[in-house]
Amino acid sequence: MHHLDAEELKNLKIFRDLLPDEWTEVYALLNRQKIIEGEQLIREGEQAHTFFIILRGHFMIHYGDGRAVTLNKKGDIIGWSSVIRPFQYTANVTALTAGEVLSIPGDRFLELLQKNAELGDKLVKRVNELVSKRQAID
Amino acid sequence: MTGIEAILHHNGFGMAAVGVTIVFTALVTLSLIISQLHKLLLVWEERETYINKARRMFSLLGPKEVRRAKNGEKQAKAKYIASIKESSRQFNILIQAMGEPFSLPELIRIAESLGIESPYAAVAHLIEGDLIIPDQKGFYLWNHEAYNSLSKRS
Repeated sequence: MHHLDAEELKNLKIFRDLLPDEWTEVYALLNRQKIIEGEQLIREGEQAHTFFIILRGHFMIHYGDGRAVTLNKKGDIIGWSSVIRPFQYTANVTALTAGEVLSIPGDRFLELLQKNAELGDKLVKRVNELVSKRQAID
Repeated sequence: MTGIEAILHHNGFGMAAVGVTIVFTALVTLSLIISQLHKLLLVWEERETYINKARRMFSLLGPKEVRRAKNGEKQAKAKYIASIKESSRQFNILIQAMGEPFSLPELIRIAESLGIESPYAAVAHLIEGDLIIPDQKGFYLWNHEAYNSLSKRS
């Protein structure tokens, strides 16, 4: 997807530590996707096949018991279950506003992380940082 | 005169070569255009951003345009406040009926069933405006103080 603004995307927190070669490999997996208000991006319990990074818009992660958190920061991540066993989404995600995300096929992303351990470490570290900064739900 | 001799006499090989070159060039040009089409489409989709960038770059906004843009911004802000006031009024009633803390997806579901316009975006704006605040347990509270101060704004 070479029409994506590579420089702009490289500055996203999750990709900031990547070396040029690593970035080239990750960049080849990115797809830009427009989202409309009310669109359900992820359903709880479904097979997790895609990992998303927010570029624009406000998203709600919600669970069957009524709990929810919202995300609206550029670079926030959604759908990390697509690279963690048992590859099943653990929550629903709905767009509260129209927006735009980067989608990454989970299987190809996982393949890349497994192939390149150093790259995997960098990304997992960044993901942990991003997830830990979210609103806590006790 | 027939055969190769006739072809040579009438520049047949030259004409064939020119023909092949024309067709080949046209095909290469066409494939280049098609391969770059996504960039053109992206520019078209993001045309507002590019136009604004170009305007800023060449400082095309004269004093009149600047004034008009400022007025536009003011009007948009007033419209936004009016819209958030209206949706906060509707959601205030809804949340009082639901009780607090409340579930955000449940609030949206009820708002949708009551026919409130754009309930998803309205909730997002109320969160951004700190009228709906998280209780850190996955549920949400209505910010009465912020609502009262918004209601007093003209």
